[in-house]
Amino acid sequence: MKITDIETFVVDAGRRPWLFTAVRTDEGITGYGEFGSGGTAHALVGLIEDLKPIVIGKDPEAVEKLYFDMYRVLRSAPGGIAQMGMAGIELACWDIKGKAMGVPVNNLIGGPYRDKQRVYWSHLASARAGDPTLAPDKPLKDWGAVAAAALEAPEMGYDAFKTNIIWPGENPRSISQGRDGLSHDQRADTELVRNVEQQISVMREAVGDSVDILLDINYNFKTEGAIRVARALEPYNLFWIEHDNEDPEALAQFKASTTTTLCSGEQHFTMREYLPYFELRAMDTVKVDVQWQGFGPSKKVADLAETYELNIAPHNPASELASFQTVHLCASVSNTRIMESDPEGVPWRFDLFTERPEVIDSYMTVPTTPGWGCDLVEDEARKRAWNK
Amino acid sequence: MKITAIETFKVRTIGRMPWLFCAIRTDEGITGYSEFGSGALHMGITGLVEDLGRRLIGQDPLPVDKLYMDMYRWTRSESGGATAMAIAGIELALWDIKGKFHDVPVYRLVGGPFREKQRVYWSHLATYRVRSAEILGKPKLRTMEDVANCAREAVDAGYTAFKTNIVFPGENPSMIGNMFAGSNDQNAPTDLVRHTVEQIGAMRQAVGPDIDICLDINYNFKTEGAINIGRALEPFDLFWMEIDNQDPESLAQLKSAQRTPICTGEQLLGLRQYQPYFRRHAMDTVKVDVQWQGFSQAKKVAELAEVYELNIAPHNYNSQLSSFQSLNLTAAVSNVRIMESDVDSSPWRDEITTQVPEIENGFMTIPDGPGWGCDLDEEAAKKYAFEG
Repeated sequence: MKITDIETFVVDAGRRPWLFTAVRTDEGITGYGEFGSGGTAHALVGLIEDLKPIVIGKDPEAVEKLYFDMYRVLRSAPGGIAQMGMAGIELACWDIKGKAMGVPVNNLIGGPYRDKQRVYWSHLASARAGDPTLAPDKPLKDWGAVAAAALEAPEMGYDAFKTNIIWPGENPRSISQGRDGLSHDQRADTELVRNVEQQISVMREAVGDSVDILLDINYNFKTEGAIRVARALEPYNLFWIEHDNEDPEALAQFKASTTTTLCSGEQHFTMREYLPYFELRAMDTVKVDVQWQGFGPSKKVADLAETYELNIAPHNPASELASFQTVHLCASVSNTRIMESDPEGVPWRFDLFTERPEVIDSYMTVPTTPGWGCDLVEDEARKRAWNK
Repeated sequence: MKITAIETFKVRTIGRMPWLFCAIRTDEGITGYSEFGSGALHMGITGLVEDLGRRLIGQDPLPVDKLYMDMYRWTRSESGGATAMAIAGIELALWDIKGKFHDVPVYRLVGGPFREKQRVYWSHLATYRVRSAEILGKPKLRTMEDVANCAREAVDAGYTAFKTNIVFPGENPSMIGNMFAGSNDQNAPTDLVRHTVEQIGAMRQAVGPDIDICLDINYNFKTEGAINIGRALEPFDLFWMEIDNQDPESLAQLKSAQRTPICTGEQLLGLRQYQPYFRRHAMDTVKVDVQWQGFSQAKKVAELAEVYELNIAPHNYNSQLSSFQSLNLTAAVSNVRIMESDVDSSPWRDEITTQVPEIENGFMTIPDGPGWGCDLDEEAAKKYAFEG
């Protein structure tokens, strides 16, 4: 079998576009991948074009060899968007390989380790704070509305949810990591610490002790601020606080200085980038993104984490195909803590795919059909093309 | 002053990859230029300049470091690599604007000059003639004596140092090329080590003991192979052996296992990536690329290197604008070993910039024009536009 063409689809999904690849072959099998981060869509579309000449005409089933062919060409600019671009092609090749052999991807490489995977409702309340059109009838006007939003999770069967720091009000907002262009020194000032304590306390009171609460503070704080927030939240028994920090020793300090459990790592790609963190046991749970680094690299990171007595938690903030890819990773490794899931999104999202993930009582079913078990509906993707 | 437009240019070369340029225009008529990134990912990198550039329209170009941090924050989940290269393209053009606005060279904005001229070496000596002897108007590399003659030519042209790669002369000359696609396990078999000894031996004999010879082995070998080659070349007193290796402890081993000095680091982008290498004193000389990581980051890396008793050597293999940018770096820091310079190059190279560097007896003159002291000739850049 030979790769004959690669097409990229950029779909307008509201705040950020979703990116997909379709890798076509001379035997009529098309593999799909969801990849990358919508914030750099032009770059990623360009990268697929850069990588195309390396893979056209090659056998897609030798997927790890193909990955190395791409890796060698961009070895001077590894990681980051280059890794995301490679992932777009690599993921679609896994789909082809599964379809060609008639097995789900997790079966190809030694799974399934499980037939369902516990998931948490991610961006609870914070998605609505950033985009009130997601739930126009439930505006986050005050803390009572935030408590009501938290209660929606158990009402929908979820026994865990993750939120971000928000300020309810007439114009609700969520913390922005300085991405809004404002000057930002990653400080946790007293007003902010009081606000987040209020938020988590309101949510804990609403859902009681049987629902797990996770808080993602992303890149919003330097180490000092992160420790301050984590210590303030110790009474609320968080499942984890999630923090992006690029200094492994700083994270190890964070972990040692609070009883709040720490999850970190979504921005790291490949074993090489995780190793300095693993050597210091700098996190309690390891965040791993399949869409950003590819399936093979993600599995290797999880396997390495196992030897450090660490469990992984897949990062999965994108569309349905990403959930399929990610749940295949969970079914392919021995060490999963929980998996991210975004129940809220644009209402037409299910039209884009041939399948939708099944979630029953906070568990996502591991698919049993060939490849990822979910194809992109190309005509729908074209209809909703992102042209910005 | 406000940014009004950001544009990228791709110019073809005698190689496979284009040179990349960025022009940033302002409402006060000042245009800043930069040369940036690696041509291997030109579509991805120019795509990212578009993703980032649109967010800078309307902003004041003068707070360069602040705008760098804004761009860094927007892409923090996919930092490094091609992302850093695209940010560099914008940052470098902003420095050019700032220099022109204040009517001083960039190195004067930041506290130089540390020097009036900079020693350079003739890079890719013999290497480029493997594929492009004819277009360069040079003799074909039929024998090792032809390779030795390249070394004599550098000395006759006034250079006191040159760098080469492993080349195989013959009727169909070739060079080591396993940094690119193809199955490759980065081994250094005995015949390859012997061949390298023969090549460096012939070149040393041609130029005598007073000329400095560098050899770049890039990503061609695992640590074991690099140690074997370094040991085999000890009798020839190399100025340095240059290697790309992504494990700092392996490099520290390489440095202590043989006596040939080690230069490395061109693929490291930003202070954070250099730190693990500096902590282990894993190199003798630090390769730093202005075009790939930007001026501020390159300067910060050089300043941190100073603390570790290390000198830098700028990586500089593109058009003349790169040389101007790199010279502005060497004039802005205290610790330079030598600077790279390509003498064999695309015949139209000098047409596409408004200036060419002055070279005398192997030293380049530090430019004194505002900004980089050299503009892109946009008309010429369009004339030689890269089509592929």
